Amino acid sequence: MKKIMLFVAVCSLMLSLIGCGKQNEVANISLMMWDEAQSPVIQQSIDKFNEKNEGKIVASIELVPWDSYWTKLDASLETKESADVMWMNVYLPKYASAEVVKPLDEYIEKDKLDLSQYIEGRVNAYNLDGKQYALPKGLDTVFVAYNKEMFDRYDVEYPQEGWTWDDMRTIAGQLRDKISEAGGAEYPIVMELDDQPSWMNFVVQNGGNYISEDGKTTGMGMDESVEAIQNMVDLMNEELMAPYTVLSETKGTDLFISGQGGMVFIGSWKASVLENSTLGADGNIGLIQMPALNGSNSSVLGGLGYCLSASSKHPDEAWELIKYITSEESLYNEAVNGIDIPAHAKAQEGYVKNFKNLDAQVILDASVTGFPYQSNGNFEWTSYVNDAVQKALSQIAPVKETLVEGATQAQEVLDELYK
Amino acid sequence: MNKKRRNYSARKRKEAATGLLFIAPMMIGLIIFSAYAFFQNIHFSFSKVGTFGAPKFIGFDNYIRAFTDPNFFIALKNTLFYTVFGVSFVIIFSVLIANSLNKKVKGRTFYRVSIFIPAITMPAAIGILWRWLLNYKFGIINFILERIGLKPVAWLSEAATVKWAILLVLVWSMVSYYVIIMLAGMQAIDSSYYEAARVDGAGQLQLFFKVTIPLLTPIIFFSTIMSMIGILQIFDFIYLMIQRDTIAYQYSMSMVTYFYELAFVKDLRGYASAVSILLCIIIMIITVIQMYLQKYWVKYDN
Repeated sequence: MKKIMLFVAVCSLMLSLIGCGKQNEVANISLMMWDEAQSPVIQQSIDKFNEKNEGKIVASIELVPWDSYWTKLDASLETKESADVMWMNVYLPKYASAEVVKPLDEYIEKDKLDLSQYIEGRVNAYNLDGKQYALPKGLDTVFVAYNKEMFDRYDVEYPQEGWTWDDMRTIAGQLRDKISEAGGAEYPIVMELDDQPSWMNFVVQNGGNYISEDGKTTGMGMDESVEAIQNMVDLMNEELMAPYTVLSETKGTDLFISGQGGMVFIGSWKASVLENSTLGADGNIGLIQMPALNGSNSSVLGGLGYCLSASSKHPDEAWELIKYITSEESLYNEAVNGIDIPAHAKAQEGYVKNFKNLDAQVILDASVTGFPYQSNGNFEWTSYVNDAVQKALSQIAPVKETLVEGATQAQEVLDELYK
Repeated sequence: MNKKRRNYSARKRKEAATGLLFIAPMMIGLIIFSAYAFFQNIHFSFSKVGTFGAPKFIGFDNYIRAFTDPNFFIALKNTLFYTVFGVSFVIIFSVLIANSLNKKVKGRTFYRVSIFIPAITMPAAIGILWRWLLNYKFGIINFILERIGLKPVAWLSEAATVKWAILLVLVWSMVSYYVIIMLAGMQAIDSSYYEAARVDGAGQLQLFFKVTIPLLTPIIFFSTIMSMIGILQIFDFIYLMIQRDTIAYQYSMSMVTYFYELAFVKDLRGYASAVSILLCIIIMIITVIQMYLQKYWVKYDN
């Protein structure tokens, strides 16, 4: 009896060892992301990927909410226990310089992956010092939305494609006069106060910059940048735009969809808000590209990408996953499900079909001329210029003086960082 | 010492072990999440700490930086503003409200329940609610002001008003809890004092100032210390009511909001630790002063 027991025990032990051996052949890789709303759709792509690589790779999603995403990512990269693949945004330079994420160039070369199939601005956003650190997933664009009902009511012509900053001022002026004649309380223009949907666009269009391409100098003290911010202050002073106190307490988007604003500079991440608003459902929202300032209507291009952890135990398999989830097939699926605007040009048409009330083609077209969100991945210096911009916009201090002072302080921090 | 230890009987030792076992879950949690974190924080405050790599010892640099950083002093000044006015208003209003609830009025239970509602409401809900009440364009407070012919006020954007607006919400949310404490204190006052005072011909006001307040001083003292420590650490309402990228944030930031920004936005963990240690020292100093001063005004009933 004892011998039989021993035999059984040995057999089961050996079986489990064989089991282990088999498991070792399958590479378990994980993808870390923060957006719960996107995860069911991305899971579909993961399922397909696992099906294709059955017996070789098993990929899974590790969902970490935004609030703790970066803390968790930092800690897990530091201890070399991070997920193999992760979502990345403008924070990339911080991870690239710490060498905790792996450049993808050797893989791109090996597989002869054609990067031109992606929107150029999004590829460039993840290219640092000639190394490609991520493949782009989706993108965010900035454009203008206008309230057709308000334009009709006050009998002002809609903005026309190809319009300029001056055209915008003229239109806003007509609106302002008609509004005050009628005793209305609406504002011709409203906007958000943070950089991406508003002032960063105009600073760059006007020839200034937020941070130089090498990430070492901020251009917010340049005359071009100062002029761009002054332009916005002028809009407020001439009552073409809602005053600062209104904009600082109520978001531009909320003012617009509640019918308080004629035009708003707005980002694609708010597209579904526009689509689902009463204003949108009544077919009263028109979309148009940014007005051209100084001959350029280029706008900020944001978005996410997929990075590969430098400490991944299965980098080859992780690369396969990155390649698959940024392929036309996967991104098209994301587009038709409306979770993101694909950074893959051919996959984009799926996105337009999501919108019944908006001309979503405008949102896509903005990406062609877009420039990547300007950042060097460090946020120690940014508050100096951001706070200066807010001081300038709220007019508690002269525009030029404030911006130059803020830029000087920011530059001191930058110099310290890169000395 | 050794001799004494030997004197413990086996039963006593067993009892102590059981006791330790029962407090173990609490203590272990406290040691890991508070004590360890506290000492690591001290360590960090003397180091340069980025996201990756080990902390690098830099001596007092972080503390020197704090004393040359204008933003640190803005945060400190704002925090003291919130504390001085916040503690005073909380104590004054909670005593007054508790005193009126201590009388035999009709529907007393209803008032007591309603006054306690803010204490059991989530700070997030309070912050968001007041942000809309105070909104410049859509807020009900400005609506009322306009109705009675006054100009609307940009409560949450103007330098002159934003700190008062936050103070208002802070006091509103804190008073209810201290009303309950004051009420308990008042009910513990022996009624014979009041009877004796009345026999001597004391009026309502005299009863309040000569009997209630002196006998309530231990409770007032306790409430002052607790509310002060709470307000010195003010963070949630500022975070909830003021958007980061607006001018109002620069007017209203407190020590803890500044700490949060340093640690989690700017990635300056070492400097942030130093700021938090300085806040801790400030709290300790003020509390010690209060403890010392209490003998001059706190009257214990014995």
